[in-house]
Amino acid sequence: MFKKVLIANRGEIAVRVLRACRELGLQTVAVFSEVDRNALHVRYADEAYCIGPAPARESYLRIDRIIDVAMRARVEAIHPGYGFLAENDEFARACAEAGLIFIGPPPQVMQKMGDKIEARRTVSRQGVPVVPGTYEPLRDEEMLAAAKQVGFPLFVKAAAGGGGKGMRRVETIEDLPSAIARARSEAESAFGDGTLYLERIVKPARHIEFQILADARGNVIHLGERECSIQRRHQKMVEEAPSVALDDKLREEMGHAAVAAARAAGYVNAGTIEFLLDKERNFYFLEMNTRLQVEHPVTELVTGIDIVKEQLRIASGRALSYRQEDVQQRGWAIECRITAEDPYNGFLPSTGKIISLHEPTGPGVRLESALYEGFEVSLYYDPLIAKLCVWGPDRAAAIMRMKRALSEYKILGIATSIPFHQRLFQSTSFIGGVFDTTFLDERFTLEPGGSEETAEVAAVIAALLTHEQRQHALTIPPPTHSTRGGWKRFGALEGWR
Amino acid sequence: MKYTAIINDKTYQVEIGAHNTVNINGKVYQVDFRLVDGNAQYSLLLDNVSWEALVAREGDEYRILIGGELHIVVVQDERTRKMAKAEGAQAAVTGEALIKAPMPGLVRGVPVKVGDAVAARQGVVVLEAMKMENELRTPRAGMVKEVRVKAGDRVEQGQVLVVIK
Repeated sequence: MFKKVLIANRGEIAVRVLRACRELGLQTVAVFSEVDRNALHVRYADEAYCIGPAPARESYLRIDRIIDVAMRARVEAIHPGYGFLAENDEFARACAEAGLIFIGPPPQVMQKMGDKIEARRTVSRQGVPVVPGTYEPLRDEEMLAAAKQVGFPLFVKAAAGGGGKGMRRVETIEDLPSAIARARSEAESAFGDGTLYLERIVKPARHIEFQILADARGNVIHLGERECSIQRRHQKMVEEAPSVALDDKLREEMGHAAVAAARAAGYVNAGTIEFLLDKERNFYFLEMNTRLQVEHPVTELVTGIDIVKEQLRIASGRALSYRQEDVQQRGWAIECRITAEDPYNGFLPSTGKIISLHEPTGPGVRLESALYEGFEVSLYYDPLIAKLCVWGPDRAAAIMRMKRALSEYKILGIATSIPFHQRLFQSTSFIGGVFDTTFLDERFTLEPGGSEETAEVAAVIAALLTHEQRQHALTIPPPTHSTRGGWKRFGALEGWR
Repeated sequence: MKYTAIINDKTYQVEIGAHNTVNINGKVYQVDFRLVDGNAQYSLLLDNVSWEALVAREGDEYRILIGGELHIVVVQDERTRKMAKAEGAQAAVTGEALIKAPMPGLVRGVPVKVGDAVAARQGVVVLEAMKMENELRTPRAGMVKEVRVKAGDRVEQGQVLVVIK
């Protein structure tokens, strides 16, 4: 095993990887942008190096600077986390050329699966079912012709895409040209590659993905599924493991297909095979993510396997620590993605300083976070600020535990998605497990209001605060009005006694 | 002291009395109300029932979060109630729709120009923020009266981008 690792990332995932390294007794090196000097990953690492100004393209995306730090700090391996350079084959190649181990798949595999068109071709050759669509890079006019074959509604997707970027839903052929133009421009600016493909919309469908582990000796196993259908505009908000939609037989079938897909790609390290599962329980390969996944903790919680440590072992050339028959799912795990967005204001990004923080703890709760009091949430990076994960012996227990943990979680200074999660966990559809990928966008609304009981309490609180303010009006300056979108301090109001 | 709290057109009569009591719509409670954290987190014991609330104020509105439920409350006493009534009578409809930036970002395109007729829900500005392109649409049909930005402009939250007449 190597002795020293550089983590080319920031935020909660950098902290997550640092922890795994620490627990394996490895030395750690963090990199940071100028605004992240005080960040937890800088403070938790053994060494930390500034790699440039706040914008990611001038720091966390600077391959040259990261490699330079790796050489100066004499690390042997680099973990990319997710996002930033995690699926950048150029970065993986640069590591190899510098004699560094990239903790992830070989660059040519990453390139093959990162090109969604190539990935569709690769896995379909192995008999894995793929969502109907196009299999070649096409020019605009060719796409218009192909669209008639694929059928509407359909998705225009970026071959280099992910996370909903460069992706457009199209209902009719009239809307296709503008959707292609918009998707191409978004894909070019996000990925530097405007290649697009078409994919029929399989609806209603669940998003089910399988965690894969593969070593360099040809062993490939899966760690079961994750249910990721709770999505808002194609961004996952809640994930769970296992899924209510699978029984043992289907799990085995899909797991088998996932392993076949990973083998077809020549995959090494931790990866994820994403499927759509329709109402008739047909499943289709969607894409492969050639990296650690945001929602990996739910799999860890039900299997007891530390995926990041396995990544480090695999990258050091060791064989997998587990055989397929060793992998058992036990109980139920759920993750909420806590984002700096205001759910009561159209999920607009919210920025500002964390003025107070109280994090949930207690039995069965795991929090992946990079927050601390005084931390400044900026617009420079992804709005994901923490992941709240719980485990319970069954789904009902996990849901109750998540509700409990959410009610303990207090973040002051910015608006967060926590109220959204609290309302979602009151939804009978969600609690009943009756949902697909359209649930959040089409059948779940978040409006102000709630029970009569909390309304009455709110009325009392507002009256008490108004009263308090009147009593002190002559001695205390008037409150400063907070700007929209943040639960900010609102002046010199004190508790009413 | 008597207050009227209004939540979504529903009114609550709240009287704050002596000895830490509060009367709401005729029911009397013992109340213990404390600021516990960071100037926005409150703990309320209402006849020993424990509540936690996150409170923000925007102008005349209190935005109160209790267990994920958001209540937007406006409080009036006798004097402010009369004033609100008078203001309401004066308010006039301007007939213009202002398309504002909902967040800071980069203008990627303005697919309309001054004088264009637009349909309700038609996209008038493409704004890039947090790596996503967002199409800003007009809430109603009309004519483009002003275009105040062009592709490449950086804009602040709340900035008016396009005016529809």
